[in-house]
Parts: sequence; C-alpha cells; structure tokens
Amino acid sequence: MKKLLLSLFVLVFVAAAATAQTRTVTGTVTGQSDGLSLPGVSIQVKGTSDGTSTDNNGRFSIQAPAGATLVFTYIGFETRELAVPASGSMTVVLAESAQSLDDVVITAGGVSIQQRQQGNQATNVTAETLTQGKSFNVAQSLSGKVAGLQVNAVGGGVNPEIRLVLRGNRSLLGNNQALVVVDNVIVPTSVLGNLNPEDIESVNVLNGAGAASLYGSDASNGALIITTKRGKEGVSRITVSNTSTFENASFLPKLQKRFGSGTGPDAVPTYTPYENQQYGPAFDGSMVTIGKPTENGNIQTIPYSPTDERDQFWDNGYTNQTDLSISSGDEKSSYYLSAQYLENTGTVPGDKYNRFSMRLNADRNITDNFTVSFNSNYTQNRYDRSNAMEVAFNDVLQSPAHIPLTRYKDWRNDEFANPNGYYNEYYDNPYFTLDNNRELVRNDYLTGSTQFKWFPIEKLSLLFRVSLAARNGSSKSWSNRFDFSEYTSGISSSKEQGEYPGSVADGSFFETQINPEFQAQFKDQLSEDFSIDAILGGSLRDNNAKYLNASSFGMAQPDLFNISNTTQRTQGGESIERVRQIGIYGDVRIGFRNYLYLHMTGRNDWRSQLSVENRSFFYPSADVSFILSDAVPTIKESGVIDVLKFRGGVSKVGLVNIGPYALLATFGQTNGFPYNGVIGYSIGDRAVAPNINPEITNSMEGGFDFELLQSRVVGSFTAYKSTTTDQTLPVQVTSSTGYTSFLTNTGEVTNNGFETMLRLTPIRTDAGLEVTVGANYTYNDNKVVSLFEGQEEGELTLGTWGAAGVYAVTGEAFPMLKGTRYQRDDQDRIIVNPSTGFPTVTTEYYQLGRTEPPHRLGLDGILSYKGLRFATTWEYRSGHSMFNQSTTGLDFSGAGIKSTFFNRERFVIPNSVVRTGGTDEAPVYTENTNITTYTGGVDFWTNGPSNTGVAENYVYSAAYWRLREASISYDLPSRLFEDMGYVKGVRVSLQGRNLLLWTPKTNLYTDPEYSAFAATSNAIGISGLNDAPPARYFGFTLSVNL
Amino acid sequence: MKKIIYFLLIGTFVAGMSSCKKFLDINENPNSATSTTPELVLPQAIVGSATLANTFNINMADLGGQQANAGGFGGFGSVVTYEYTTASFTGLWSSTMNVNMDLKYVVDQTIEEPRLAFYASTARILKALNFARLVDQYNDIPYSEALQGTDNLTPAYDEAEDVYMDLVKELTESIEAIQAGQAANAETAGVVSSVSAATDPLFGGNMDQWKRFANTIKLRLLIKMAGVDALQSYTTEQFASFDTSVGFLTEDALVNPGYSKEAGKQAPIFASRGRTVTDANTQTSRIPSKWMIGFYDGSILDDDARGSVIYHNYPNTPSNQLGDESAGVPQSSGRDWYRGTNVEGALGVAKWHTQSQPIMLAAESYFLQAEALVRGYLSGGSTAAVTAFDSGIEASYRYLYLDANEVYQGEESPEAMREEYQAANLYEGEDESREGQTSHLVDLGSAISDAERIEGIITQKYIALNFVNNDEAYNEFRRTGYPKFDEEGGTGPYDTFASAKSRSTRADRIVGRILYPNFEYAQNGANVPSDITLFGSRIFWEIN
Repeated sequence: MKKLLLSLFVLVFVAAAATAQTRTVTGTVTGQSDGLSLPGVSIQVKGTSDGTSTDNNGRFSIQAPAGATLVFTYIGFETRELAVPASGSMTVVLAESAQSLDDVVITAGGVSIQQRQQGNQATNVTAETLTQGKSFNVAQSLSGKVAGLQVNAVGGGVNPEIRLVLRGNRSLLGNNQALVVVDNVIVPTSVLGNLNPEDIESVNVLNGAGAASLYGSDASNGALIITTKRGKEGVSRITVSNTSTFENASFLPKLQKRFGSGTGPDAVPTYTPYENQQYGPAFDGSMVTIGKPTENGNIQTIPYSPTDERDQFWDNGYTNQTDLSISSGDEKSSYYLSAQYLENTGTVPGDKYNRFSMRLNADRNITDNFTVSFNSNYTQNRYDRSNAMEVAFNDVLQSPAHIPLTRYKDWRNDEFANPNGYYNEYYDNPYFTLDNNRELVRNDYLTGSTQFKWFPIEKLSLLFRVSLAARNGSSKSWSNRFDFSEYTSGISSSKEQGEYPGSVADGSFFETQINPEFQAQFKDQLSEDFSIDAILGGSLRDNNAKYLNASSFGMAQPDLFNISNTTQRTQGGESIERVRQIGIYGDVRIGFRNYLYLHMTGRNDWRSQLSVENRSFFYPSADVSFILSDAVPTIKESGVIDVLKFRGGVSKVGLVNIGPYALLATFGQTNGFPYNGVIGYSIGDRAVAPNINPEITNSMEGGFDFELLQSRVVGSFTAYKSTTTDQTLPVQVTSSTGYTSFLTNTGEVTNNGFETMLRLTPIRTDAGLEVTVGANYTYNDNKVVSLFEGQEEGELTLGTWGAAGVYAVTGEAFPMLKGTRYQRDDQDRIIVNPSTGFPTVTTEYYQLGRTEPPHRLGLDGILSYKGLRFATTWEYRSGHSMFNQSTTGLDFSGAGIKSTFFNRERFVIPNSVVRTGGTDEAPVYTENTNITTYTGGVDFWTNGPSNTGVAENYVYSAAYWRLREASISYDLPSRLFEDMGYVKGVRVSLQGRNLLLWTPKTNLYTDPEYSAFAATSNAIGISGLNDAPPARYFGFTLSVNL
Repeated sequence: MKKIIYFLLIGTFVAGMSSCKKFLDINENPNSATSTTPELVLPQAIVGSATLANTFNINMADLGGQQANAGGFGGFGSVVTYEYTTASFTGLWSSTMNVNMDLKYVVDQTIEEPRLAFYASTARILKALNFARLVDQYNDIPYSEALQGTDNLTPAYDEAEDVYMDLVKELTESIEAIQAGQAANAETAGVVSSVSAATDPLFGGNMDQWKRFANTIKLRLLIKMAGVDALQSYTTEQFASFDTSVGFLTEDALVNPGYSKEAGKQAPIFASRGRTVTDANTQTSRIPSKWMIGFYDGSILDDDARGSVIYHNYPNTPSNQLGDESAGVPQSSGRDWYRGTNVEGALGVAKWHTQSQPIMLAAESYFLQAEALVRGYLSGGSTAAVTAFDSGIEASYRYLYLDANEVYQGEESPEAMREEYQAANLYEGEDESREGQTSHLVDLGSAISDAERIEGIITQKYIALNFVNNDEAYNEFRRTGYPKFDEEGGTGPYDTFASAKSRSTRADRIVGRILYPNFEYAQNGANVPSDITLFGSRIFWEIN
C-alpha cells in the first residue's frame, strides 16, 4: 500500500515536469445560473496530461499548443470541451449538471467528491429535507429519510436521547452508534441534540465503514458527516424566523374505567376510600368519600364515576424557537453567523428546557493559494425537570378512575393535596412527587476548528487543522425533606415518620477533545484516461475528561438544597479518563475516463487504551464505482436509462471497545472502609486478559444506483454483510475462581441485509408543479455466531428488568428478549391447576423475540408548486418485540385495561389444558373447557405466577406505522412586500411531527421506539414508565429574509 | 544532500516514534489502586468475614427456624414451600469466595516471609472459618483448585471431608506459626511484626486470642467430623494430639472497625434487623417465628430475661409459624428484633449502628467444649462438662446484655440470671421421679443420659445463636436433631420449625441442604456434583 502511494506520487511529479512547445491561454470560468466565478475548475489540454485549475476568482492561465482543445471539468457541472481561440483569451460558462450523479457531496475528511465517485452506499440529506418538520433535534429529523439509518428516540420528555444505528448492532457490548462529524470535528453523539438544525447545509450519511480511514476506527459504525452553512461570495443574507410548536401526549397506557378503589375479596369487591388498587366494585355514580379525614376533620365526597383525570395529568407542552442568521461574502472572505434560542415546556408538569446556540463560520483567502477557515459553535442547554418522573407516572396509575387527580396540583396549600391529607394511603400525590424530586442540569458545548490550506502547487494542497470538541456541565438534584404530621402517622401506618429524609447530589464534569490533523491531497488528471486524487494524512487525538460528584442524604432542614445541609456524611467521587490516539492514513482514488473509480484506503492506529504490544493496528479498505451508462454510451442514448452505476467495496476496521485503565485489575475499598482512618482494600471482581485486542469487523457491500426517464425514476440497491470477531466481552466466570468476570476477546456477530431506495417524480410540469414520492426499505438480519470460546451455547446479559431481560444468545438474532412464560405442554398449551384453574409460571427464561426490527420502511412525498411545498414522511417497522415492565402501574394497581378483559369474572384460561393422567415423566393433558380460575379479580391479576411474574404477558409486537412528519410551507409572492425594500422573502409554514401512530392491539403501553435503558446501551427491547408518554407536535413558522 | 535528507527523515521518524510512545503511555489508572499490600487488605478481609458471618446468619433464618413470613405480604413461594432453586442463596457462595480471595491474597503475600507470620496466620484462620461455613451449606466445594483466578476458570470440587481435614491442618499450622513467632519475638523482640490494633478489628492484634479462636474453630470441625464413622480414626488421632494448653475462646469474637450510623458503615446485624441510618425500617416481610419465641415465652422454655432484650415489645412481639399465610398473621412492626427507640442503649442482638459484629460467641466455645467433654473427645469428665455448659449459658446472657459499647447492662450478673433460668424451667416429662427437678434442657446436672446431655447442650446452643449465627444453629440441628421436634410428628408452631407448607420429603420436613448456585452450573458445569437434591442430599456430618 505504502509503496503504491509512493510510486503514484513519483509518477505524478514526473508528469507535471514535462513541457511542450506552447502559448499562454488565459480566461475566466463562471457558472451558468448565477454568473458567479467558479474556483477550482479543472482545465486540461485534451490528449495530454497538461492541466491546471482556476484560482479563487475563477481565473486560469495555461500553456497550450495552438489549435488545442481544452476540457473544463468541475464537479456538479457539465463538462465542456472548447477549442483555444486565436486571441488566447477565453470566457467559459459551465452549466450545472442535471444528474445527481454529478452532485457534489462533502464526505469524510471534508473532501468534496461527486456521487459518481462514491463506491459505498451513502445518502445525502439536504437542508430543506432536514428542516421541513422543524424538529429541534437533528437526529430526529433524519428519521425515515435515509435507507439503512435507524433513528430511535429512546425516551420522551424534554430533549430526549436518540440512538442512531446503521446496518445493525455489531458490537455486543461496545458502541454501535454512528460517528457524528460536524465540519470535520468528531463530536459526541449528544451534540446532535444540541445542534441548531437551521445551521446545517447537508448531512452525508455513510452507511458502511468507509469513513474509518479518515476518522479512525470510531467510524466503524458508519458516520454522519454534517456540513454547516458558510457565507457565499457576493451574497448577503439575513434570515429571521420564529417557530412555535405545541405538543401533547399522544400515546398513554390503555386504562380501564369500570372499577374503582378496593382490593377484594374477589367474590364481593368492597370499596376502600383510601385504596390505590382498583379492584373494587364497578362504578355506579353514587357519592362516596375518598381518603381519611384530615387533621381539620374534613373529608372529600365525590361521585363514584370514572373520569379522564389520569390522562389529563400530562400537560400540553410548548416550544418557542427564534432563529437569526447572517451571511455574506466577497472574493476574499465570507462568513456565516447564526444564533438560536429555544425554550420548551414539556408534557411532564413543571419540566422546562432551554437551549441557546451561536455559530460563526468564516473563510478568508490570505493569498491566492493560502486559505484560512474557521468554525465555531457554542451551545448551552439547561434542564429543570423532575428526576422522579417514573415514580410520578406510577403514582398516576395508582389513582382509581374516579379520583379528581388534577385538583391536587397545589399540594402546599390544599389540605387534600398535601401528603398529610392526600387520599391515597400507599402512593403519593404525583404533583408532590414531581415537585419534591427535581434536578437542574447544565451543559455547555464548544466545538470548532481552525484550518489552514496551502496550495504550494496547483495540484497539491497541504492542510493543517486543529479541532476542539469540549463539553462541560454540572447538575444538582435533590429530593426534599418532608415530615408527616403526627396526626397522619398516627392514622396511617404506611405514612411513616422519616419516610422522606431528603437528599442532595451535585455533579460536575468536563470533556475535552483536541484533534490536530495534517492532510496532503494531490489531485490531477494524469492523462486523458486517468485521474488521481490521493490523500496522505496523520492525526492525533487527545480526549480528556473528569467527573466529580458529591452527595448526601438526610437533610437537616427542608428547602435548603446544599450538600452540606445534611445529617449524614457527604460522599464524593472522582473519575478521570484520558485516552489518546495517533493515526496515519492514506486514501487514493484513481479514476478512469470518468466512469471507473478505484478507491483504496489504509490506516494505522495507535491507541493508548491497549497494551504496548497491541496498541498498533492496521485496517485497509477498497471500493470500486463503475458507471456503466457512461462507459457504454448506447445505454444513455436509449433515452430510458440516464444513469446506471455499479459499486462495491470491502473493508476491515478495528474497534477498541475498552475504556482507559481497563487492562489492570483494581483494588477498591469495600465493606464500609475507610473506618477512622484505616484503609481496607479488596481485590476487584474482574480479571482482565493481558492481551486485549480491538474488535475486528470485516465487511463487504455491493450495489447499484440508477436514474431513468430524465431522472424521474431514481433508485438504488445495496447488499451488505459484516462479520465482527474478537468482541471484547467480560466473560462470566464462577466466583469460585475469585472473580466474577473475565474480560477477554471472544465472540462473533454477523450482520447482513440490504438497503434500497426508489424515488419517482410522476408529475413535473412546465408550470412548476412537481410531485415526487420516495421510499426506502431496509432489511437487516443479525446473528450471534459464537460467544465464549469452547462453549456451544452461551448467553450474555445486556440488561434485565423484572421477569425479562435482553440477551445475546449464541445462534440467535441480537439483541434477544428472554423471560418467563406460562408452563405449557408439548403442544404449547397453558397448563392450569385443575382445582384453582390458575396457570403457573416457569422459572427458566424463554426466548420471547428479537428486539430490533428486521424490516424498516420510510416513505415520503413532496408536492411543490411555485412557492408552495408540501412534504410528508412515513415510517414503518416490524418483525420485533418489546417487553413492558410497568406491571406495578398497570396490573398490580388494576388500572390496566387487561385486567378487565374477562370482566373481572371467573374465566377459563384460553388455550389451556389440565393434566388428566399419565406419569410425571409422561403426563397426559386434556383441553380445558370448563375449569375457570377461582377468581378473575385481584388474586388473579396481581399474583406473580398467574400474571405479573409472567414476562410473556407483557411482550408485544413493536411494529408500527407512523406519520413522522407533515409540513406545508408557502413562499409569499414577492409583490406583497416589494414596496418594503429590505424584505427579500417571506415564508410561512405549518408542520407536525409524530402526528399519527398505529400499533398492533397487543401494544397497550407506549411508543415501541422507547427503551428503558440509555441510548448508549445495546439492551434494546424493554420499556416502562421511566419515559414520559410520547408526544405529538404541531407548529408554525414565520421566516423572513432580509 | 540526499543522504542528509535521508538521515533527517530517519531521525525525525525515530524521534517521532519515541515521543509517540510517550504520548500514548498515559494508561496508568488515576481512579483506582492497581496494587496494594497485605497490611491494607487484611483489615477489610476481617470486616468482610464479619459481614459474611451475618450474611449466613440472615440467609439461614428461614431455614433454621428463627423467623417466619409476616402478614401483609404475599408471594413467599419457595420461602414457605422450601422449593428453592439454584438461584436461591447464591450470595452465600459468591461472598465467601470473594472474601476468601482477599484472605488468600494476604496469605500468598506473607506465607513465605517469617517476619509476617502473624499476618499469614490470621488470614489462614479466617479463611478456614469461612470455607467451613461454605462446606456446612454445600458439602463438596472447589477448594484446592479454587481462587486461582484465570489460571483455572473451572476449579474441580474437593470432597467435603477432605476440605475439612485440610482446614484442620491449616488451623493447626497457624497456631504453630503463631507460637513460633511468639517464641522468636521473646528471643529478639520485633523479628516478627505484630499486627496493629487498627489492622485487626477482631482481636486488636492479640495473638493469644487468635490461637484460642483457631483452636475453637478446630474443635468445631473435629466434633462435626467425629460423628462420621469413616472419619473415626482421623478424629481420634486429632483429639489425641489436640493442644488444649492453647485454650478456647473465653470472650466473644467480635469485629468492630468503627461501625457508625452512616450508610455502608453500620454493623451488619444492625443494618439487617435494626434501623436504617435515617431511622427507617429494615425488614418488614419477616417476623420472629413462634417456634423461636417459644424458647423464651414459656411455650417451650421460660426465659423472659433473654426474650425481653432480643425482641421489640416482647412478649407481644408479632410472630408466626413459617408457611402460615392466612389473614390473621400479624404484620411486622418493622423493628421486631430491635428493642430500642432510635436512640443508643438497646441490648439483645440488634443493639445499635455502632455495635460489634459477632463472628463466634464465647457461648458457642463453651458448648463445644461441653459436648467434647460429654463425648469424651476432651478429658475432664462430666463435672467439667457441667461447668462448661453453665458458662455457655452465662456467656449468652452476658452477650445479650452488652450494650453497643460492650458495657454489661444487666441488673443481675449472668450467673444469677443463669441460676434463675434453671430454677424456672422444671422437668416436664412423664418420669414422676424427676418431677420438681430442673429440665435437662437448662441444667446439664439434671440430665440422666448422654443423649439428654447432648440435647441440653445443643438446645442451649440453638438458643444462644438465635440471630447471631442462625446458620450454625441450623447446622447443629441437622447434625444432632436438637432442639427436638415433637416426637409424634405434630406440625404445630411449637412442635417443629418446619414450614407449614413444607414440600420436603424428609421425616422432619426441613430442607436437607441448599442447591449449588446457578453460576456454578453455568460456568463450571462439568465439575458440579450431580444428583444433588434439596431434601435427599445431606452434608457429610449429617449422619441421621
């Protein structure tokens, strides 16, 4: 590889040195549509290897023999061939290319290439598509728009976490999320939720590991190359806009409204005024008391009739977003300056979020061949939210349907809302819960880069760039102290004194990444047939982070949220993380006659987390792009096929899946040490193999792109396969070894699938009406081939909750949901007890389904007519399952609708059998048609073995159809404001997101995209009450161009 | 010129590579220690052993008869049916291995250094005690191949008898090593490093105490083995060479590194059955068993002096028979084993956050001696046995009447309380000639046979170990059958401690042994003994 690079360079220099008998030709090149000069246009004397390119003002000068023909090529424009005129002076106008094949995309390393050159699957998303739904999170606005990209909002609430995965989960425990790169700066994925979407020019999604050579192995999961807007020469523009967005809870757990408070007995349910459980008598409209008398002797009397109060607990959220951007440029300099302020109140009562961001992008040509560029982005966000939303959600579900829940907001002053007088004996007032448990979170992000680019000769550029991604933040969370009155503790044994001792926790951290980089790029038309684009570079990366936290509990007095205001000793913690890497890479793209491109990369990384022996590793890749339609002109001339491109690639990437300092076992203080100044260490539970290596993913992909009928039909197809070996896993070992886990390289996972895209433009009229409809469909299947060396069967726990968990299981798709189910006979019928009619639960866990969708479909439609644009995006996913762990909230409480499916009466378990004979080894079962459960009330539905402990009862199909986005925008005719000289354009738009969601009947719970675990966890497939209910958003925007 | 450039390039490359190395050599852990010393590990391992003692104590309280399910809770499942699975009690195994790994580290780092003989010996003694506890619940265990880290990921099992014999050897050698060290120090002071009081939260560095402790553990092991026919010759030989001059524990073996009313720093027994650091309840799903309360409130024996210091609101403490889940079962007061009112000064088993954690009581030491004397393992005869028995009861009173600061708070002496106790419990059998005499359960002098003597000794041990070492009480029940269940097979709360819902197939309807933990089946499956059952299998010393 290195040799090849060297010989290529030599070849190039030799070619450049050759001269001929010539004259000087000068001229300028401009673009047809805007008449602006085009810098960097490649000019070549036809039939020779002589060439040059235009300078920053579009001017060129070249030595050419008399009568020669010059070839002008520029990415994104039609190539022109012109004869040298006698004057020796030329003015050349290039037309923009109509085919997307010639669209320029900014890809890895900030390199601009034409789509024709790309040998791997990639999708370019433009600013207009991205911001049509006015999502304030860039990641969410990509959902459904890119083949192969899976976007999951894993939670609700203000600014939820997003998980982005391309081509499935490869690493069992390591990171599977796509790398995010903003203007060549590698940034944490969380930056996506903090980036101003209005700043974005384009997002290039690289589905495969193609960016790994330029960004290092962190790009092994694919990459999102985000390019922000910059000033344009000769264009000054000021945009001011405001967006108001309303949100409301769109999917709440399905609740029953037939039975009120009470727990039993089952035969004759009785009403209990202070009960949380809803297994009481059916509602009858009579007047009942609730709760116990307050200290003042008051008691509430309300009708025993169901209400919608529980659903009305969730607020309507509102977001106001104001944007300002200014951009300008002249022949030497350009800049883009923007600011955004966003304020959001969520659906959870009292939750607030705000975000402010600022960006300055600037460029200056110091000389004709020396350019300086500068990018900077500062974002700050502030959360003021409850840290006990899950508890409050449960409190809501522990409220019977007749309770006037929303009247209990003022718990400080209303004696019935105050914990001392709250009707519910066992669960708190959810408004109190939200109010009493809060957190304030601050995050500041600063990212940016400075770049110098020097062209010592026209064909060679030397680039030096230093980038910074820094984040610092702090948080304070507390649970306030509350003391029950003696009266309340006296009448309610469960309202114990000292129940809310109060606690305070503070944290602060910083994360800084500095990344200097050097890149040499050589671009030349070697001969009439061959072109080369070679990059040689090196980069250093230094990530430094430190986290501090302090906490204490047992508050000395309420309302003073300081960690020193406690009766218990303050605990503190510190964690420092520093990792560094060095990478050297080469990237060569050789073109043949504009229709065949070979692209090869190689990179060697050195990573500080690994031992000296293993820290260096090399990974190569190669891909080919072949444009058949250009190679065989008859295809194009047919008039049917405009473009037919084939591509394919192979790559190998290593992923370092251990943090710093993981190679040596640690000793920690346990058992309460230190005591009185005496230290006591214990050997840690994890043994580590001394020779941890990176996880290696070998992948290949192949596919084709086509455009038919004047680009009215555009499509692509890509098939891929990847194999990831040497996973870094903590293998569970028996504690008899002295350890409980052993970190080593083992296990293999394969992923394969295909990504397809089809876009049709059925209507395109001269009057300006255009309708396009598009679809993208992705199929991904993965399999855990092996887990632990020498073990045919294996299982790795990713996360568990209640009676179910998410696992990696040898031979199965990953992640796999497993949990308990009913005891069944060999025909899969539920075995019930002949005397009680009750089924029983298994102790072992069974596979209950894969949790990542094998099938994903995105649909979009766009209609545009003059200033009017209507766009929608739809999404469909299927083939996967979820487990909901809110059994306490739904079935223990009796709030869930499932507990009324049999009208709370005795019933025969469907598809059940009873044992009628046989031996214990070979029992005989007979279909059960008449043995009913001895109860259909509280004893059945809250009982573990018959219901709540049976995981399969809470597993549902996670399939959905979703109207992800719909928007309509209208550019006001300019005649309306032509009198006002300074207004150049006005756009109004209406947009909605997550407008409609269809899920199967088995989904009684929540949005199937949600996950109870963090976005970084691979334990996908469990949801619960820890996320606020999903929301539906409607908004309108007014945008003015000055 | 070319050469110069060449050299420059190479020079730059070499310089670059070495600075690269420096640039990348930043992987030293700034957050956690990656090396340590035996002096820093030993204190933790001693406290860890105390925590472990309490883990066994609490975990075995359902099986050993000391507690029962409380009212207001459902879904006890295997707690009342005894149908435990391989997922039950797994913490016993993993915590023992975890603590012993630390002790083994201390041994490995010190065993070759005569200067550190006291460190090596203390660690070996505790390791032996902890392994013996594990054998007492699981019988065969990985021992000789255990705790080898990644050198042996699937350690083979050793037979329980062999483990016991090796533990006896370890204890003997430890005693000898301490003796040798003391002799060396007598000659030249300081050749063997002493263990500082702060490093040894058990005996404060007192090596004579450690020797007595080791000798007492050794006696416990040998007595258990002595009943097994196949081990007779071994135990006879061991008893013949038993060094009684070392003595046995005369004081309770209590660990206290400075427990305090802080999260994670409380005495384990108080954290389990007292209060939380914010004065909230610790345990509400269990209440004392009627069976256990029966040994105090007169249902079986009369002993208000001990009952009233152990239980909250005694004699009206909520109690139940294990397995009774009917509506009338009382709810827990949340503090049934804690007599105090959130202030220091309570007595009994859960005294206060700062109390010491018992690992072995002097009472047990005396009852072991009494049994060895009755059975003739140790010489001294019946008079010595009676003295040891009485000392055992007195030691139990003394322990329960200590406050958290180990100050005796009884209004009467332990001796006076023992005498009152013996006077209050008279013979209740059918032999009229013994009417008016004291019960053999409380007075060894009134026992008329060795069987009665052993019954008295083990019954008193069972009472003394209540919520101190519930596991050992349960072990001794399985070994000896005492305290006796109702001979007619009654299943009332004072007839048996077996669960009313027991699915056990044993005659006494209790659990024979617990199953090996699931992770042993999953990760060491080839070595786990097969055919282990809850009700069919026995620990080797259970000979009935």
